[in-house]
Amino acid sequence: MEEYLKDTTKGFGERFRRLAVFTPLFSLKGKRKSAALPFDIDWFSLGLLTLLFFFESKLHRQGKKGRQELADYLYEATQAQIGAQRSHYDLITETIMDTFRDPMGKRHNEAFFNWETGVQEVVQFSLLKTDTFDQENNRQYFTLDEAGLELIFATKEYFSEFRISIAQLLIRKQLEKGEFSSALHEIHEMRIAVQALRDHIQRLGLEVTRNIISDDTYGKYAKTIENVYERLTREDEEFRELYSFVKETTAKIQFESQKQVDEEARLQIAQVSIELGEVHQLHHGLLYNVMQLKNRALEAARQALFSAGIQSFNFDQEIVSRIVSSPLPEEAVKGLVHPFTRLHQQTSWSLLALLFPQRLQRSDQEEETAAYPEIEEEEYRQHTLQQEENFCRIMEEVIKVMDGKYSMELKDMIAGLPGELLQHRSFYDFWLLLHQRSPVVKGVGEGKHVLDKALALLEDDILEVGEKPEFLQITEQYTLQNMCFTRRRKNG
Amino acid sequence: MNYEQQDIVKAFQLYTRLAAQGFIAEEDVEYYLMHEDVQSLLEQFVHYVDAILVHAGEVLYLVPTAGLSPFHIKNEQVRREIGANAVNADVYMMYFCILVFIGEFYNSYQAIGIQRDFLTMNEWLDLVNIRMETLGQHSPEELLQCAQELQYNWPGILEKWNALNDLKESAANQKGNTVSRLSFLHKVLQFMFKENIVIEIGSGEYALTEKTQTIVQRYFMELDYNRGILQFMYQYDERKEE
Repeated sequence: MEEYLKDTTKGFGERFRRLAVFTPLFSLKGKRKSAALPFDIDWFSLGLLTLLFFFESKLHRQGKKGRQELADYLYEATQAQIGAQRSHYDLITETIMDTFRDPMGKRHNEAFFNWETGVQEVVQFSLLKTDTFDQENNRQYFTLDEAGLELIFATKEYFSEFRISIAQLLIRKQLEKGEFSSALHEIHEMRIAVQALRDHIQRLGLEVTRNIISDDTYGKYAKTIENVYERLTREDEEFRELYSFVKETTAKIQFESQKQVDEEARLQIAQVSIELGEVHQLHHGLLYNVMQLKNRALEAARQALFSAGIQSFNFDQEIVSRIVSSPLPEEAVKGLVHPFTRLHQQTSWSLLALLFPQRLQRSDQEEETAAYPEIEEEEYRQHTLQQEENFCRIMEEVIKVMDGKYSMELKDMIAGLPGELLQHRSFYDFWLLLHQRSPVVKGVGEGKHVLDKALALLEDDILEVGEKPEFLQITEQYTLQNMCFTRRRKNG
Repeated sequence: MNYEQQDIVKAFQLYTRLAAQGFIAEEDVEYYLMHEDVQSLLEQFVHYVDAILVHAGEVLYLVPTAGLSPFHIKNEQVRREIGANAVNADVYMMYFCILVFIGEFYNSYQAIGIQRDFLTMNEWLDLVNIRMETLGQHSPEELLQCAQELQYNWPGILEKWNALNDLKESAANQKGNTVSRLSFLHKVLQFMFKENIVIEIGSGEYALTEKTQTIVQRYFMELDYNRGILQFMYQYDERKEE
């Protein structure tokens, strides 16, 4: 395996666990309409709402949230959409709660094969747990368990915006601790984040140029550009600091390693320094890209002064459908395609072209081939016939040498073959052709081929010729790769 | 208005480049943006050949306007590209397939941008088939009447499409000279490649080019132009009602 692929399975179990906590939520998607609940219910989003309900309650330290409170909340929030009665919500709540928290008390289990450690493992988690139990009123209250909290945090989109900043912090910490190889890994991840940001900016740029933008959208773009710009300047500063920190560390290590030779650390910090520089450069280029984007957006806004875009236009419905339903004449079709094609280009020929310098042809050679085609064809036919005979003879010799065996290598055959055969060019053509066409069998009825006669000698057997690694210097003139010659019964 | 000689020459240079390749880029666009006289000259030039200019970022496109014009690409030229035996019906059939192709990318009233990343050959074939069927649902008399009165030739096109052998669609290699709908669509593709309408982004996966997207979103979706395009289509309806 390639060196860089070693890390693919690193932390596999941990990653799987993070994904596994979503399974109960996704299993809600499979819920169908039932007689008791004859509504179109988006169970998945109700499930997410449930988790968020418990999350907010926890956030604001509101305890005592049980099934009834949840049902009340869901009723208030979604009743208008779903159109169910309050009484239905008891059932809805029950279904969701039972999915998140098994009524039999079993924890959620997900078995998987851990490719990192090579053993079968099981992840266990629970999304909701009992907070308190009010025995007098027979009321049970719930709160988010560890996995539930993790799920909620994982869905929040605060991370991507700060990904680079966080990576920078992490790298600094790792460098302080002297973990250079993990710092290197972090830098690689940061490079991906920077590239993702670059793609994002490019996509914005394309959107701006492709569309006629309205005031609203211009405002949106301007704001995004402003944000990205601010963020880039901030990150750029951090990069500079990080870079100088790396320099310091390098100097420190150089100094220390005079005493105790730690070659590996020195190499690694050098690598960190180089790669950090590269990422920084890439990042710095983004500043320029954003400036460009800003100009484009401004230009687009200027153009929008002259032309206004329409709110919606369904090409398929308004053009293609209309053509067939009306129907419009095919002339209209032509007129509608024209925007996508070129203009007509007049090609003209000038009389003066007669006086242009002309290309000289090498007439002697070409004329010959053009004048006597039939002779060449005749020659070719003769040659083919000759070759066919030759191949037939070679095959005879080969079969003789094989002496009833079904498989043999070329290098073992050579000794048994007549010397003049080895001197002849046809012998090598024979092997090349067979190798090219392998596996072959006697031709049945189709067009003629030079190998037909030779193959007929093998009766109905299938012939396979495969190459072997070594080269054979057979005569002074010819070298051939060793091959394996195998006959197989057709049905065997 | 008086123009400097230099500007006129430069504008003509830019125009020839636009006419030859359909767009100009980089320093040509910069020059265009910086010289207002060149801009106005170029706009007049393209106006006289029934085209408009669409400026998108670093590229300036020459977009022929929707409608019929002696300056637009000629059937004769397109026929030659389709094949030796092509007739006008082939050209219109091809144009129709192109519209179906583009329509599949812009099939929503909610969103402005494209709704899919690419289209495959088979899906495209299905879509064209469906459209042709709809066309076939008009009664033959109705179609024939249109054909006679207004010189529509839909019956001819339908006949042509149906005559293309549909039975061999499962054959592995359709790109050759097999007479089938798929091989016809392959010819259409070649035309679209040449006109820079689509690009192949994977084996059998075709996407719209930046140029096409710009044209749809900046020309078809521009208020005034859009009105003009719809007008162009209405005129036929009106003629039919008369």
